[in-house]
Amino acid sequence: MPNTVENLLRAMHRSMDEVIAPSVPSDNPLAREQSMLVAKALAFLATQIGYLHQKDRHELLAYSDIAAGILAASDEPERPEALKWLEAAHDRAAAVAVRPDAASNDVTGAVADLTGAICALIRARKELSSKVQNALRSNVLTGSKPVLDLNRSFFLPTGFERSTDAPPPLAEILTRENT
Amino acid sequence: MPNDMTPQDLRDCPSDAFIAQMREAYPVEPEMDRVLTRKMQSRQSATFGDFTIDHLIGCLKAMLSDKLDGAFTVHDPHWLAGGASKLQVVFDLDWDDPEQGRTTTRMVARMEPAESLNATSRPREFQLINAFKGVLPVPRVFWLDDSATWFPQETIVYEFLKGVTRPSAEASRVSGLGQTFGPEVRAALGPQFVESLARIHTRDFAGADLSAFHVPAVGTTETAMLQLNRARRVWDEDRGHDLPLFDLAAEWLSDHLPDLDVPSLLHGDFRPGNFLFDESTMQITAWLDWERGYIGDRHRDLAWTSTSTFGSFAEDGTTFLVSGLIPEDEFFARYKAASGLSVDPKKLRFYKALNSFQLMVSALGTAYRLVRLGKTHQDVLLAWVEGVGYAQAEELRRAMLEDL
Repeated sequence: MPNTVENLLRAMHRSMDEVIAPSVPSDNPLAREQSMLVAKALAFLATQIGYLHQKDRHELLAYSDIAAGILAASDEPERPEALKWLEAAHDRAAAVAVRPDAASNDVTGAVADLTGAICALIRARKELSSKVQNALRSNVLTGSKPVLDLNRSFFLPTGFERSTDAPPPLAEILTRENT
Repeated sequence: MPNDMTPQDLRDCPSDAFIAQMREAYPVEPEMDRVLTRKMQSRQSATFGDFTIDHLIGCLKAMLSDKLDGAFTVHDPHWLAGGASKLQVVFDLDWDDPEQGRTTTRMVARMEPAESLNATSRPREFQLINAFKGVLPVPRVFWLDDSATWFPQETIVYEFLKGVTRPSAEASRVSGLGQTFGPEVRAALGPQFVESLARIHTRDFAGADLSAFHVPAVGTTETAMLQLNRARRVWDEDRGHDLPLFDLAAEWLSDHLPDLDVPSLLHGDFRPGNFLFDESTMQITAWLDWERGYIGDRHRDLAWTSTSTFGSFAEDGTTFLVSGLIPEDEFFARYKAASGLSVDPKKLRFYKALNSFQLMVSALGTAYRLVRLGKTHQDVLLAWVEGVGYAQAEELRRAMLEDL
């Protein structure tokens, strides 16, 4: 059976855009604004929904890279609790990442695990050696760029990017990082 | 387990202990503490509520019955659009105006939804608009329901002023974000825009009734810390996920807090979409949406106004126009000349970073929670602005990288 969700979304968009929105009375600006936004949101979903799972997987890999970079800087024989959490989250993420059939919930759950552990580490940074603190700062700063590029590109059609160096198209990012 | 984002997220229905924890962790100005605490307490019970236009007009009539001696009639009510946070109903009131006698006045009732993208203070808005009466074109404020006695939430009622937020030939932008203006419109409005900001920052507020405001200490980092705490508190109250860059940025900002040299009244959201102008005379006719105003560092307003999300590029594709109206160099040169105040690039960098941080809070934290809980009359708009958060996160990341 073909996946008809995109078709359905496109049909909903056309209906909103061509039939429903134009018939909203002009003296109801709130309804007019929202009907146009609903039309835009449906068009956005129709073009982006196919990328969602792949986007989540790339986010998982990017945060795994950040975690690996931090853990690599830690050579203490007895790691602080926050680092142990990160290590465990990284291991769970790796187990999900190697499964091509991992469900979306597993992938987003692993991302939540990793980001939660990294944030906990930031809050506990004073317990860390200066070497790990530096690795934490530099890995989060540089490692967040692929995550932000991915999301900026995903939301590009919503029109809020003002930067002169807009992120690459989503398909290009996903292809590039796959190779 | 460091991740507290359980399926039954505690932020959906915060306990008293969680609310107390937020208040203790992030000290803010007293009025903001009241507003944020009330927001979290109301989240314990309410959903969107009965915010139909008929219901709100019923509330309005009940208030007017208590406030007015003579007969009155409310007619032609309808919703206003354009904002991203407040419910606004415009209506005509036949009444005995103490200043004009029997007349019909077009007014706006402006109320918080069950929760707002920006939890703000109606008493502050009321006082701030009054503080600029005769200084800038602002609406006449009639009534304040500051304890939600008649309306479901705090409400302000003020005069409806005529004007447009954008040239009729230009496409509309969500909440005025990135609004564009043609060269002729820019030439007419740009200088007025800067002059207005200078007037706000040089307004002598001694003697004005600003009891809802806190005056921060000069020569200290108090105002910067309070504003950082406010953003961090809202993020922690509203977020649906962890974002390592955000937590790192919070530490970086707290390490770079600037001192305050001169306390100024701030508009708080000085940008296109929040002023009206007359298309035939090209004069600004009203400054609106003072809800985010406070007393603090002028660099906060300057940085907000020149934020990338609120601006656009000129026809050459490379000249960035502050708020779509005026090239950045010219904006600051005119501001300094009009205000007599200095602009410190280091402070400007800090407040630009803080503003990116604040926009991340709104777009990635608050918008998520409100839409999830169905708290506003325009949830689809709040869901739509998520992309703003990632664009601003990248700007913040670059600012932090430059500092390393």
